[in-house]
Amino acid sequence: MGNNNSTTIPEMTVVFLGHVDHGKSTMIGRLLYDAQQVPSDRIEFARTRSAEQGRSLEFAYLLDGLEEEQAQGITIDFTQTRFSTENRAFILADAPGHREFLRNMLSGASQAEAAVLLIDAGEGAREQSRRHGYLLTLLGVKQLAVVINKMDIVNWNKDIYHSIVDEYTSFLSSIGFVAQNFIPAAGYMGDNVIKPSPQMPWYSGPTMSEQLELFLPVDQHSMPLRLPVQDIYRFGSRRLLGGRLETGVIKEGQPIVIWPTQEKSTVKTIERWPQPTINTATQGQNVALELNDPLFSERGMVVSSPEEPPTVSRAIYVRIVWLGNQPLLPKQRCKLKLGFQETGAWVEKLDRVIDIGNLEDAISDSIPAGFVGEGVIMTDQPIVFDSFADNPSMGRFVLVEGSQIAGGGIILAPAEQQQTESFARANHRLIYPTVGNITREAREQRNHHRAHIIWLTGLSGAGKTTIARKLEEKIFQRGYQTYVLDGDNVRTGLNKDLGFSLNDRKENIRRIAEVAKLFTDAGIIVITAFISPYQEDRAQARALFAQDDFAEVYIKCPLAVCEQRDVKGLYKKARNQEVHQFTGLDDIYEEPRQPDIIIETDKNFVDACVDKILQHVGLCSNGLENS
Amino acid sequence: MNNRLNNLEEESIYIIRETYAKFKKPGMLWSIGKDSTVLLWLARKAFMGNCPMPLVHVDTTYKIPEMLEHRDRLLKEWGLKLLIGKNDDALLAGVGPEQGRLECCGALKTEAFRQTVEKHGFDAVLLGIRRDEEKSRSKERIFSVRNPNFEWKYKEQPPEIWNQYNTDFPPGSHVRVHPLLAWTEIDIWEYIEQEKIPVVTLYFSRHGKRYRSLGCWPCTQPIQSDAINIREIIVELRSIGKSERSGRAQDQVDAFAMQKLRVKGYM
Repeated sequence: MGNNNSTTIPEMTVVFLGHVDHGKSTMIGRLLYDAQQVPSDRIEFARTRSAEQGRSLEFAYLLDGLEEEQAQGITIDFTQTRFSTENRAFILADAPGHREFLRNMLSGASQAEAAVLLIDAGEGAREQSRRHGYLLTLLGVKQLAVVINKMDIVNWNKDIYHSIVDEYTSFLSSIGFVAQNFIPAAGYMGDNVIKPSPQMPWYSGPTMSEQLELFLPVDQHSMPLRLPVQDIYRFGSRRLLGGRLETGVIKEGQPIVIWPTQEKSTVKTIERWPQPTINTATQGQNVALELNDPLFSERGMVVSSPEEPPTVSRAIYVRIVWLGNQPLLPKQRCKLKLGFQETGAWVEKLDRVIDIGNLEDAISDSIPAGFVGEGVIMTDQPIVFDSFADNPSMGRFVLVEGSQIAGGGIILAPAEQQQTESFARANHRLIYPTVGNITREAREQRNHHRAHIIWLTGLSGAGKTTIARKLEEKIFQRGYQTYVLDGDNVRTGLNKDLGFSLNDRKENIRRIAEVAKLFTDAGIIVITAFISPYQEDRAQARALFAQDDFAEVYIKCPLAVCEQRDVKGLYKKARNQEVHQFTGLDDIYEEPRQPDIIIETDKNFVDACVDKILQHVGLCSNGLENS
Repeated sequence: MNNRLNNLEEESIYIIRETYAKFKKPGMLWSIGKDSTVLLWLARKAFMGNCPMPLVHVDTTYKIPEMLEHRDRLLKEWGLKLLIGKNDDALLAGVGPEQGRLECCGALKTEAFRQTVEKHGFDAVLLGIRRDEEKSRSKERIFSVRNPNFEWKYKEQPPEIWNQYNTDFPPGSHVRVHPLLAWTEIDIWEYIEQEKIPVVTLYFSRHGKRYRSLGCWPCTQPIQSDAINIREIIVELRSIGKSERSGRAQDQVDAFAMQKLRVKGYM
């Protein structure tokens, strides 16, 4: 029986995963047995059953409860059991390792905050070892320890251990995952389970039970208020909105917005029973709210604060794991459930199908069971959500086929482009503009980086566009919001009324600076690539921004080199008098007096130039990331 | 307040509210035992002191009289609506434990329950079972479908991912909902103590014995115990080496007796 759990660290669920027969149930059984946390009659039961089959005590029988599980020596469905150490309390979820029981594995793993993945030392990493590892990223489980189990059958061989560790480490890094620890163990023998193994003196890391204590509950820092409405309760003339706070805090009297209708009100009371009302409710609490205005509300709506709105869209970019009996086909209708929202949905566009058993892209136009797909899902009704990265509980959904949950997915981003293409004919608005005064700070917080402007200046042919595009690519790959303004996208639209006279050139730069300012207000790292030859214009542009936001980058290259490059053939045209007032030839270029960075493109490769800029604006040292 | 109990309570309330929101006619099984009484208390918490779902009590006619007294007292005090289910045909035919424990459970509990579900048209029934009670219960889902023949297809259970449950189901089947699945026996007692929930006094020691689990009198044996209050029960449970249902005769018939009973619709 569990010890007194009067600990400060909350109880944590840890799931045990891995390929079939790599020793998950045995490991948990041994942990419980060694810690003397199994009732004696259950041990007797397991001992008797083991003896009937001519074995000594099978620790897995302490867990595998179905007759078929014991007869076949496998785990069919997940089970949970409590386990405690001196300082901590855990729920250990034992997940099945057979591919056909993947849905049971996911049911067990979706509750977990940490995972232990077992690999048989004799067999090495197998298909489910990789599949389970990959699925953790989809479930949002970030803490992982890998046990190389059954070390006894490889004679406690250190080299075999290290080769499996190396192989699995490189698999994990290919999916952007890092294990906290690798542990050599023998679950059945009890080596490195609770007691350190005398057989492996070369290993000095944690044992299984010590590792459990290294897992820590995810710190739920201040998240935005999200209260999905579960039901409406009527008491006489009063209408109460019932629901559980997924994230954030709600206070009596505070202003709220209900989505997707965007009606506003304030909280009149927060009710619980038996205490009549409470002032504040926090994440995880079930409440019933009475609002001060009789606005329309129903199950599926979401309450937020005015400052931190969710996203509403009919098109989402997703990653799905499919568990149905038949492959999921594009355009096939099913039901999507996110929180209490339910709507018809279909895969509009399938970009990738991944065989997560070997991480290879599958050549398939549908998603078979156990595979992962990436693409766009469209819904009949707009759904209210956050991206999975921002708020996991508001960014994950299940797909229901017939009457059964047949898939799960996470939302990577809204897919606005898709919905305007597919629904161009429809007159109704598919994206609801966010309401209220969303500050730049709020946007930056959501983006997890600061906004910034990188102003490139230099002669035609100096390399501004090349560097701008490369910068954009690198910043984008980091997952940051970025955009390049250059002649191609500004001169052809916004500034197509402008020519190349002195006044028009000044107006051109003025408008670009103003647009760049809007981009930074929108939380984006904007890069401008214009000759911008005049000191005065650049100074005016700089004046629009805070000092920390603006970096003037002089792309320096001798005129002769630029003319020799002449990528666009403009120098030739200018020399032939086909183009007039050409900077460097018949118009001046005023060199920046105190640029923030000087990049000499005739002396350095593009990558080195780009890295120097990234370093300066702090993108290499995480300077643009929110602290 | 106990952190674990808070989490369990919130999770259970969430599940109870979800059942009420998603089903047309949900009911709640109340055996008068400690677990289903905790379930009833949680339902009152979920709905601001009311229990909007009817309670169902399966009467085998072998229940210990004190349990019935306790039932009737709470019905009155808490203003509850109760439906009683009985397998009259089997009782008339004289079915009892002496014909075989599994047969008796099958007729007087499972079949009586099935008839009650059918008669009142329940599409969902809340039950107070827990994972730690018994091995086959540890394999249950929170929302668990029973087909029209009342059978549990434990090898084909759909996934429950995150807090998304299977609330759609084929016609004719009904859904068993298990809001207490994650609770342990000690959690139940600690919660009863924290919330001051009234329980039958049979759980407390008299003449050196007390009931750890309550069922029909012919098949339920008290255990040796001197625990006369909740505190002492919790202390006793922390040191005891036996599973909770060790005093329930039907579990001991064979190694997988409960799995076999439950496939056919037993609670």
